[in-house]
Amino acid sequence: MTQNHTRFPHSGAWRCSVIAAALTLSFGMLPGQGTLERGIYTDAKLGFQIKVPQRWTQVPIQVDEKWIVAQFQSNREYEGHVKLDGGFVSHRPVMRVIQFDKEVIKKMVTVERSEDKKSSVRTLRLPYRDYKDYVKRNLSQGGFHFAVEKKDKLAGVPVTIYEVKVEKLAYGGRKHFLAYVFHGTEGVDFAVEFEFLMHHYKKLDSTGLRSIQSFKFLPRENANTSLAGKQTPATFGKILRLDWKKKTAAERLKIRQEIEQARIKKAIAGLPEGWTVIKTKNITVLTHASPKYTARLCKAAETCWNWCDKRFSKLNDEYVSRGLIRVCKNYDEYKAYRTGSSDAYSIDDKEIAIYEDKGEGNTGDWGHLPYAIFSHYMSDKDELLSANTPYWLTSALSDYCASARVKGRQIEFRINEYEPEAFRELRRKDAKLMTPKEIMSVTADAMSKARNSKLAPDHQIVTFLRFLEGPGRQHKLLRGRDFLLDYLRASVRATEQYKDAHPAKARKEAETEEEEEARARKDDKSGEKARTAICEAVNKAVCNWSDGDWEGLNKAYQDFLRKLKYL
Amino acid sequence: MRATTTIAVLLAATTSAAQDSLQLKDGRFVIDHRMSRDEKGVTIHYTNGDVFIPHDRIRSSTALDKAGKAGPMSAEDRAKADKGLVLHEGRWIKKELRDQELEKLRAKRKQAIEEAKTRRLWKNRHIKKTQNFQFEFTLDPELMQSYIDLMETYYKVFTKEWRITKPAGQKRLPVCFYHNEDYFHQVGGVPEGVLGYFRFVQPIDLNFFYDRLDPELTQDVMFHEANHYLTYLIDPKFHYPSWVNESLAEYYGASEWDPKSKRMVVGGIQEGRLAVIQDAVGANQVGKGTSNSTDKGKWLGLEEMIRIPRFQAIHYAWGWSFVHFLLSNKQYAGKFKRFYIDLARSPRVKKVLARGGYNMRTVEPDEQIRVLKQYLGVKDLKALQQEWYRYILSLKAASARGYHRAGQFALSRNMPIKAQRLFQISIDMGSKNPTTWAYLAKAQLQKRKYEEATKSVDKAIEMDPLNGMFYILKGRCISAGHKPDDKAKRLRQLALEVDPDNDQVILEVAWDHLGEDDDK
Repeated sequence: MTQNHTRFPHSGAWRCSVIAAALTLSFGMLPGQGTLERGIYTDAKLGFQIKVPQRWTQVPIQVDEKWIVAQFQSNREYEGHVKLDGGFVSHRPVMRVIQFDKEVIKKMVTVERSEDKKSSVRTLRLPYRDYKDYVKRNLSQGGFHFAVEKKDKLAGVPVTIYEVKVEKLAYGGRKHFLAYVFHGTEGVDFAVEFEFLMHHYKKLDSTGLRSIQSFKFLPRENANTSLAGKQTPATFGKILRLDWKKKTAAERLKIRQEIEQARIKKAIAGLPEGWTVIKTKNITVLTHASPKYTARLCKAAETCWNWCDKRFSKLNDEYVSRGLIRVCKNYDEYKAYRTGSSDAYSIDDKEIAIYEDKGEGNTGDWGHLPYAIFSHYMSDKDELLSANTPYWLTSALSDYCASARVKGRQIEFRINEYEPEAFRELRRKDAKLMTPKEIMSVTADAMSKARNSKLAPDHQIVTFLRFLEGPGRQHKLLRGRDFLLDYLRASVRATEQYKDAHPAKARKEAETEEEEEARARKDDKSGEKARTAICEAVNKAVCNWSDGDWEGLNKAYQDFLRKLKYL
Repeated sequence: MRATTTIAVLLAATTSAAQDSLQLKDGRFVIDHRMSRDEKGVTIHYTNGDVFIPHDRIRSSTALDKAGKAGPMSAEDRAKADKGLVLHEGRWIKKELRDQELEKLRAKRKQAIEEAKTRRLWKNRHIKKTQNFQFEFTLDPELMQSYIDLMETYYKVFTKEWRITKPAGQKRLPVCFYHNEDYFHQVGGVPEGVLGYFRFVQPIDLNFFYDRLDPELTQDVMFHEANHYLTYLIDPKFHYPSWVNESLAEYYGASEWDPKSKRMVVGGIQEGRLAVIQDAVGANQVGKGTSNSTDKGKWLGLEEMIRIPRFQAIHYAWGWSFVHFLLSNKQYAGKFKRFYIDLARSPRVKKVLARGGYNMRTVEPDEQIRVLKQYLGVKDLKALQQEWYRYILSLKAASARGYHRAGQFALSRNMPIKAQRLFQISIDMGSKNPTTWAYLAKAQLQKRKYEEATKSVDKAIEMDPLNGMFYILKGRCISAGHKPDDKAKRLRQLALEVDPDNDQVILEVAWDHLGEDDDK
């Protein structure tokens, strides 16, 4: 069985620095991968067939999805009730086919344990028992209840019919679900579910019913094709850091590339008709967006990647796996794609999902794309960076990336439009600005208090980062070194040392209430204590400066603020 | 090495032909199990054990006894018995007739139980209109009536005290009351952690649930959430700042209600909240001395509280204590009420458009502080703050419930020694909550006091025999730190029979199995 994903981008939309490859893919079908021909969706492996409503498009399912085996979306948009749906709401109906395999469900709880070199991972899972249980544990669009639940037969096949109403605090408008669960003789049930806006249910339910009535079981090509209960092998998640660090760079690269290729292959295999795969130098893009938008996006993504590479590649010798970006046609498709089962997750998932927003990118503002690429890059560089880098830098880098403006091959980190006013307000209040030393020691708690007191701490610290990345580099304390990289490396070292010095171990039991009290107080602060200790260690290692040095740096920073007219 | 253990969780098949059903007064059902009944109550015969429910907990049951007359028979009675007659409701009748009557009674009760069960579904909810509210509920009407009375009384008391009139055009408020917490989260659309809510934009409604293990909490939440509606009536287009709105709601949340006299008393202590604050500042008053915290950072400043952009659970405790301080103080009580009303109504208070896009007005923190100082007649918030702090240190939690909550708090912070003491005080003060005993058992288990823990959990089971988690806890207690024997394993299976749809029970059983596999 072959599926073609062949579409070349418009000529002239590419510069020579970007390599575009259109792929014709030929591969064996994965479980849950059917074909759509003349409006009939057939999945021979799983054993069912159904007529898809006219002018509905297939939506891909998430790579780690284990229950939804097919989904489709109407090309037509419907509007909600202005008053009852809480304002302006639009929605494209969705159809899903969800598989429930009794063999898996019967087990109820599965414990998987792996032991490797004195380590073990135990996983406890609770598979969905049936469609009703699935809805109860999955549906998160608002308060809901089962308006209909009854058993019947359809063309001789036993079915259970459900109608679910989402009414209270409904997100995205009140909804009305119609589902028929077809009970197979081989212990596998399929739920065919339609999601409509409640406001339009009366005229749309017949559309769903016509489709439902066409459902047929087919003989399954293979047994044991159920995805349910099986985790996508998350190989990286089971490798301990200690073991990882003992491997050579070549070994680590090989493992990352294997995981990367497996994930990308699986993501591509699950693409429905109409999607295109584009491989740029560092990123694989799966797109359902227009060629023009895709071309702009690919260029912007590569530019962001190049910035990460240029700025952070020397952090260490870790290979950064290829980026994977999925671009949905519109927001509705993106929403349908992202609405998977709540257990559709893998630690190896690096996919960035976005949708075509015609306004995006024109001014160079690509929303969360720069930060998403940065996060992917840094998490591969070192898993410890995101949670353990001193708070001020984590926060500053996030805002810094959000301020990125990408035009062509250029990336600029612009001043946030609210920032000047925030500093003016501080001047009006005669508020004391944080010094570099204070910024570099700030805790999450202190930031929160400062925000409550409207001292604009977020603006202050990102401005400081801009100083460090700009004229600050020429300051005598920072000249001749890459301060940011030094700081990040020191963060990793300090975290490792802290963890080594504070291993998790059983404590001697407290014998009195006073001892318990003292321990509880200590434990209450342990999270912040760890981060504060790491921050102190990093500052000591990288900027063990005298008071005079700090004063000098502060002076240079103040000059920078003056040039910005913040002082 | 990779090992996979698969646990087949068996919901033991009830093989008996005679299946009965039971409806408890707390709203739960046991459907289609073998049961037997005597003068004390009904015994449910599960595959892995019997569970006894005393009559005073049962609303209705299809299990019927066929007790004849006890003791020696008179000659006349013996003669009738010899003819094959049986004694039924004071008269001697043929056995077949008795069986028919019993069967009719059974069918009638079964229908009543089924009817009650169908009402647990939101689509079949009860709807009852009163003067000011439209109650929509899945609870039993008998249980609901007291809450209906409470709400109407509360409405009258509050609107009179605060001189509030319902604005023209305001209809009865829908009050949605769910029979348990899970259903509230499902239909109400709010996540765990939320105990109730008032929707203040159209369509407005009030939502909360019945907690069978803690009816006091139910009442607390009802008073709290209804307060949001009552203050909404001051001006539906005004969005009160969270700190003062939530704090006043918490104040009323501690009101007491006497269902017999239909009277409410305000100004009670929110013991759980008090425990949180006093613990935060190291001044826990409960039970054993005091120690004032030198950690000044732990005290929430008054101005800081007013400026909090997102008022959260920890802040509720502080806010409640501040309002309690003001309303308990003759100097400030009346002034604070005027401040509260005028914040919305006075044209001399500067208003701005509230965020959220609902076209409502609110007041900025700076203006709130100015107006608060003006109305309370204070020049400096810091002085007021000091009075408030002194007040907090003077408060004591004094009820069984307060000690129970303090004990829960201690247990959640890994303080089983302290938790045991607090739970014991709660029990000595007459706690009627079975979880007090269960938590005590947990705390004792953590300190390896297995015999005591077993006795405690037995007490919990006696008070709430259909709580699956209690049987799991008992299994751990009797295992006494060793691998579970057959008796402990049966208790786990019984837990699954008693509470088959409780995911927490299933997971706890799985963890216990997991622990056993450690030796393999």
